[in-house]
Amino acid sequence: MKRRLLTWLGLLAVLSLVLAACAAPAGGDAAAEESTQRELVWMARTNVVENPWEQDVAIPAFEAANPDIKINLLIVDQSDIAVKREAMIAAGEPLHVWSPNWGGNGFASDRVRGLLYDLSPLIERDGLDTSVFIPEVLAIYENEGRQYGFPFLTTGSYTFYNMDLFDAAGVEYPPVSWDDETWTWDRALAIAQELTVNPDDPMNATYGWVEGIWPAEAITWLFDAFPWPDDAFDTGFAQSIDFTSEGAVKAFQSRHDLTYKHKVAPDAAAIEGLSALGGDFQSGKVAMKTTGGWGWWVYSPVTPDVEGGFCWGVAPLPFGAPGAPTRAVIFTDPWVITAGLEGQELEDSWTFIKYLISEDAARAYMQATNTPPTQHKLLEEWYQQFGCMDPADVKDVYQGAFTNGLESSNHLMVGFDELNSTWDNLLGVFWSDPEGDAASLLPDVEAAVGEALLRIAEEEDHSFE
Amino acid sequence: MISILPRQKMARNEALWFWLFISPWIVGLILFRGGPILASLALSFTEYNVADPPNPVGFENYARLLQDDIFYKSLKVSGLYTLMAVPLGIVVSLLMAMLLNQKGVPFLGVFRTLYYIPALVAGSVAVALLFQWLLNPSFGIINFLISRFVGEEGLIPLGLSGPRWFFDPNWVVPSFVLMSLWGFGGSMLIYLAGLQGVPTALYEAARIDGAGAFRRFRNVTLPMISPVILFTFITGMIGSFQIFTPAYIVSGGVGGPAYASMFYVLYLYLNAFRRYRFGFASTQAWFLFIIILILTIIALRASRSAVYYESPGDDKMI
Amino acid sequence: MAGIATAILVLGLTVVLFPLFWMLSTSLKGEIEALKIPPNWIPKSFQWVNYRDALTHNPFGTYFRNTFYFAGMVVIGEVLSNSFIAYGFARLRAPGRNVLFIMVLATLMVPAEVTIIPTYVLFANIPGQWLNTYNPLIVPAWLGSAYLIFLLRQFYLGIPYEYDESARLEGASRFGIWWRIILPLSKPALGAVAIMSFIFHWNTFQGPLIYINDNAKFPVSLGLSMFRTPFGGTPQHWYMAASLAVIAPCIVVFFIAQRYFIQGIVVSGVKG
Repeated sequence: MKRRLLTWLGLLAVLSLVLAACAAPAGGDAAAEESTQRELVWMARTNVVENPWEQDVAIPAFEAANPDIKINLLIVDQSDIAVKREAMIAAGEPLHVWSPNWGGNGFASDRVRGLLYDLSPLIERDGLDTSVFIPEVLAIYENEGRQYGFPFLTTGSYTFYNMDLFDAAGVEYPPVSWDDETWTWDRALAIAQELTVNPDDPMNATYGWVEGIWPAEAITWLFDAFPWPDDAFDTGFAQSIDFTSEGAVKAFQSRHDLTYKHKVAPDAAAIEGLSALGGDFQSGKVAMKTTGGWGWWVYSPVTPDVEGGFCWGVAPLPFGAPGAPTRAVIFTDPWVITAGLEGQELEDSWTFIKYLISEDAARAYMQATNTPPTQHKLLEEWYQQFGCMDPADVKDVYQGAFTNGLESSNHLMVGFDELNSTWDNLLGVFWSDPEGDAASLLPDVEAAVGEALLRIAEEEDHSFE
Repeated sequence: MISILPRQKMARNEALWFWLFISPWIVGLILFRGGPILASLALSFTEYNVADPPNPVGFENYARLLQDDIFYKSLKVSGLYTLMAVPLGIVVSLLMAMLLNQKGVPFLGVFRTLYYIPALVAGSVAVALLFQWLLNPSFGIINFLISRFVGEEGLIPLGLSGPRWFFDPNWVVPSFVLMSLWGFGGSMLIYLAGLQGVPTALYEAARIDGAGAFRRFRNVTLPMISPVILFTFITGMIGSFQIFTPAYIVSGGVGGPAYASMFYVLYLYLNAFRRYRFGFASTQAWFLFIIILILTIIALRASRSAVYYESPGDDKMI
Repeated sequence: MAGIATAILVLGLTVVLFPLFWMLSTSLKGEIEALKIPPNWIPKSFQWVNYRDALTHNPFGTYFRNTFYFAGMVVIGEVLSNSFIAYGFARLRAPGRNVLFIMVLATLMVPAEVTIIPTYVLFANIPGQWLNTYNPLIVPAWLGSAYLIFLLRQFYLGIPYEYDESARLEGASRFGIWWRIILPLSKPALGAVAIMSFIFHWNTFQGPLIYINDNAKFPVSLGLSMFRTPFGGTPQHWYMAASLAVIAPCIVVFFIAQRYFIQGIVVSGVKG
């Protein structure tokens, strides 16, 4: 009996040895072959238009010009990117070039955690010409004199509108100038009322206005009620947020009224349903949509030439209060280098970043994705591609957002995820409640976000002066 | 006198064999699984944002956890979900398994396969998105059917209208339960395997005794598959307390409205990967661990008399 | 009885299969048609080309091969190791067995979200090439999975003890009993375990997400995620086409394997 037991124990040991042996070779054969090449790890997000650009255009071009560097591209779904990135950072696995706004908590949190390399000394050393960038856009990723990243994609927030629906009803298009004071919330509302059909029957409705400004706090910007303290976007911290000013209350209530009082907008559930079916604006059942400027490229497959397509145009966000100075939320994504790199690894990463912002690479990215570039020269080319809009008008409305806007709080506020979750949870019921009253709800939201802000500041040992 | 020694020896021999049989698991625990689990326990006593090394803080995370309002809300959400999803899941999948185990049903293999298909995609991102749409108050097919059949102008005009599902804090958890029920195929499979193991002779004997369908179910089927029911109950409970992906997708990682979809592990995930509070998230994990462990031990103990095992009487089996 | 059961089963199919019908319908629409409201239940013209486009936009052939290798290796390992380990927990008495068994279950109770990073750190630091291979997922699978140990233990506990006793009288070793008596008697359960293991690993996402870097090594789950594009840019018609293509092998595997349950050896006391 005992001998048999020993035999089986022996067999088991052999089996585990075999397994361990099988385990080893399956992996790094390719890496071993090309050991003369230095490897660089570039992390990107899944995206049906960006990925082919990275794989088939950017990497081959870079490797041809730098034969001793091999780019390892990691493509991760944006909602899971943080899991992989944090695991890699914790294990000290090489990660060189990436973008902090994808997944996780955004640029400000990574800056505060000390994860981002200050590029300024390298810029100075190489005399890199940074004047090619739109200055407001470059400045977003500069903090206390340190340049933490180079923007490769930027857009404001806009009113996208369905020209075919406007034409059919004989309604005049909205203006293109951000300074046009006649483009007010009330005028937009009047248009929406004219263009809304069957609002109570979502399946057959045409909605005048889908209001989708994000983050939720930014609706106040239109009403000249910017809720953050003056230095919040510089430091990334705030002691409080102002949701109880007259303008803020009016902003949230006006948005609510679009749905329940004026019945020109779908409710939260219908908006989600429209999006779940593929896209609210793309369905052709929405006359106007106010939202972040990803529509520029997300809507680009929609043209009159495809079946079910139509002509669409872009206008500024309306004035909720006369002369509101910052209306547009700007969204800019930068490439960054991980802090702590040195020597050849740093040089290679820097070489790669310089390649990514080079005119050719940026143009290839723009052409592959239709996304707005961050460099003056390329923008002139980008303006040309919208069949239904005059390039000069595209330029006016696109650029106006940068002089009438600020970068989004989700990139500039430390701990944004907790702030966003807090106000979204408390506002969630309000958006679905026909009887909802902003004035009675907002003090609670303000208090809860304020608490979160203080907790975040305390965690990061930030002191307010 | 003589018999004592061999019996001791035999017991020792049996114990040796026991260790041999479970040795792969022991090796796996030592090499791969144990370390990370202990590491997470250690991290629960630290402040750790991944970028900097962990900073020991003693029981601070635990103290903070007990003062965290959202922690209590999330515990309630997951608890309620478990309370509803686990028993309902067992009933639905057991019923389906019995239907699919009926002799005389044509194309049984095809039926089994078709009914199993939802389980192939259950818990995935695609299904979460699909249910978000099916249950949409304005566009969803469910509320459309409700209004057509029992709505004001429906077939049976009861004037009922569908709930607002994911948009009504009171209906959020039931909506997720519904989604989980659609994936009943996993447990159904286990029950099917269990039903196959019930000796047909027992049914025949019961039938000869004049037992009806219900009595046969109660006196033969149920006891014979009770070990499997216990299995689905315990693993269902462990899994339900840890449900994450559907809530992450449906709520867009926010957990709303009004924290109604802030499931325990969603809140844990947000703290870990969105807010870089790994220490705190580990504390949450270990708190949940203790809750589940206690509930599991209670279930195992309580089931001793209810679950039928084919084992020698002197053996204290849990 | 069978007639009523059949009727219920046919009716139930509409509920169970509706979401799949929707996926199929979307997968055959044109890109803009897929966004139309109200949606067409039946596409205007069937765009079968979506399947070709979706499966070649990224190299799904490679993804399928990778997943077959990975899921296959895991299934073999899990069926062998867990049926072995579970025998110990179900049939052999030893001091501390119950405590050990609770420990097995306990490994399921720590949410994976907090062990992901420590586990990744572990595989990054132990000798051998682990990262960017399937080994961190395959090798531990050969060393038991708590869920399946528990499942098989429950099945084994339902097998009458007299079999073991009589085999022991005939001089069979414990190993012999496991191999010649318990395994054949638990075929339906092992079939269930094999199916569950295959399907779980066919779909599994988190593990490959962390460990696999190269696109050429992706499994189908990561391949599917490649369609996900921020800001509603996901091409629904491709996504649905690829999703259906990905579950198709699972349906085939299940259809073949489920015969096992019909032919599964019924423990009726004839054999022994």
